[in-house]
Amino acid sequence: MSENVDTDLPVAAIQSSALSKRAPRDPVSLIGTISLSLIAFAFAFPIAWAALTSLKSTSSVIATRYPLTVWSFFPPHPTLENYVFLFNELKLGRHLLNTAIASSGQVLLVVITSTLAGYAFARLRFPGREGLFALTLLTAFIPLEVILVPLYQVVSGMGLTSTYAALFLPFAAQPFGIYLMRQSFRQIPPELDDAARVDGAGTWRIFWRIAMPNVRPALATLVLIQFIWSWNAYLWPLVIMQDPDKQIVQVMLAGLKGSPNYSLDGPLFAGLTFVTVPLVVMAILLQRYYVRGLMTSGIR
Amino acid sequence: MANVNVRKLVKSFGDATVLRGIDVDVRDGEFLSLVGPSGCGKSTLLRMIAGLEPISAGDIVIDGKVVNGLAAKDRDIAMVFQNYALYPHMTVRENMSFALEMRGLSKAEIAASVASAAAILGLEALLDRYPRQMSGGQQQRVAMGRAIVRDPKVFLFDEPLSNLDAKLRVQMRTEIKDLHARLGSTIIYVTHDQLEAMTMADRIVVMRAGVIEQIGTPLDLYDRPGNSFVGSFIGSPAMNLVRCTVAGGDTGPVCVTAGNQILARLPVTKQVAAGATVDVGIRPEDLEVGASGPHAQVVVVEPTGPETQVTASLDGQIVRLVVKGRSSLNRGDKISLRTDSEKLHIFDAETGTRI
Ligand SMILES: Nc1ncnc2c1ncn2[C@@H]1O[C@H](COP(=O)(O)OP(=O)(O)O)[C@@H](O)[C@H]1O
Ligand SMILES: [Mg+2]
Repeated sequence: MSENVDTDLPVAAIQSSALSKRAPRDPVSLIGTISLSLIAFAFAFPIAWAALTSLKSTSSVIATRYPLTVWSFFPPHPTLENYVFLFNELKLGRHLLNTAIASSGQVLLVVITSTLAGYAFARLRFPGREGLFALTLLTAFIPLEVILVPLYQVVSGMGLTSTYAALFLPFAAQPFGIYLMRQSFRQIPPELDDAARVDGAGTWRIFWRIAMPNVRPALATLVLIQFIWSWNAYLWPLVIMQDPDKQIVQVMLAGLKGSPNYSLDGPLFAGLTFVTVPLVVMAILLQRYYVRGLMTSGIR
Repeated sequence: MANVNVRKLVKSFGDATVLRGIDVDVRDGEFLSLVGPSGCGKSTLLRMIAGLEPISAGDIVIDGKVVNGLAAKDRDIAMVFQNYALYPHMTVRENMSFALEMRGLSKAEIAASVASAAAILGLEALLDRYPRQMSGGQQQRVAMGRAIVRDPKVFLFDEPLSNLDAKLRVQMRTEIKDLHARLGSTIIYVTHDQLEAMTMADRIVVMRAGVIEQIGTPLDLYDRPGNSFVGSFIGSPAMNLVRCTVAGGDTGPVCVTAGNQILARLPVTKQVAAGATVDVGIRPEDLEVGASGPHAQVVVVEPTGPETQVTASLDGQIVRLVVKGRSSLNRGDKISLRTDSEKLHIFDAETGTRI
């Protein structure tokens, strides 16, 4: 069985050869390693700082500000009191759930609209296809701030103010998602469509059984990007969600900053730390796919 | 199984007309090959029969029914593509099952059909592999398996062997021919390789620039090409075409080359007026080194083992001859060419039509 191809082998071989090359390090890769470490540090520092601060009691948050030394960053007496306060008093769980609902709705809708529209733009022949696609892309250049007021009027006119649907419905169609999916559908050889058609499949079945399974990396990228986008949304939920119980976690946390009576800095940092966890989990779960998605869309 | 009739078929892409009135009748159980140079419209014709390309004018009839408006999925036709077009996310088994699933067959029926098709093609050991885990030859075989598992009315092949290496191509040629004999199915087989068409087909359709030049059995086309294009397209090495003028000779009309040499007597059956310009077609194996006859100079000598191909210059025109066995000729040698005038093909120089 000499032709028994094990697709994992080459990758393993490349990795192990990269490892063995590590010993005699040349100056170029040394500089590379140092600059990558600096960049990684620059990105990780604020998050690590917030995470460390979340373990300080509110009094030591204030106390360690002066004098500023390296030790200011570390909690003198690590405690979980901020997290307890966050979940018990500020109902973080409730707000996390709100965000989860908004994000799931957002991701689900965008996946549906992007794949359908992307497939149509990539594969179906209809008059005005290219013009329509160009128009779709143009909408990517309209910032939310510009349409905030009319959007609010439309959504409240529909009687959707303070509903969960209002959080994601206005963003159901995303030009970026449509573009991404169109590009990956276009990379599927058209002969596959022909073969499926001859095999007895109609357009819908070709979309579902042939096209969709071959764009999984792009789909993972889309899910991740939409999830992050929606998880970090702030302005629109702030405007449209007037029921504090249904407010998403980001807006709720931002509210802690301006607390007039007493400082909530400790719980604020705890909350900020906690909400990054789902993003990290999501990124790790999907990285196998989206790295490949970004790579293949670049190479082909 | 079915017969296929193509009637006055026309295809245009915008302003470009790529098929200009194609008429072919494919008989039930026949192996018909479409040959022609790249871009002559073979694939387009095949795709129209499959229902993948709309018809500009004319009719396609399958089993007595006009299918012009019928979608590909309803035509009950199987197609093997040049690049195989296997579904990359499906195993061999799933690739072969797909069409049957689309038809709503039960799991048991599908399993049985896949098993028997796999047995015919020797694919049993590959059933759980993905396309990327197989060699080109294996993928090709799976592509055929995907077609035969359906037991369709007609098989369409679009240059299925052109991505294989020479040795495998010869082997698959034999296998496909054997498969056709066993299944008795109607096959329309597109290739640009005339040798494939010659060796496999019951009949060959020679196309050029969107029109059919000739239809016939392989040996028909070889022995009686209807025009100089078919003459030079069919056969390898290609037929020599020597531009000559017809002149009256002592013993009847003769063909005179550009250098005023008499190439051969005009066959007695051919009626050509003296002074007319003709292309004289001579198969390389009908041309010999002789004691007398028109002079030529050897350009290249290519031994292949059982025979030797000699390329020579006859009054500035290149001619090829195939000599049995070994040859002692060398580049630059002067030779005389001899041919049997009854084996000549005479074509009108202007229209290319056989005289
Ligand atoms: N979708 C298309 N749009 C425009 N022109 C096409 C299209 N498909 C094929 N053609 C043209 O039609 C001609 C015949 O193509 P094709 O049938 O693929 O030739 P062959 O298979 O004989 O090589 C070519 O000139 C090709 O450029
Ligand atoms: Mg072709």
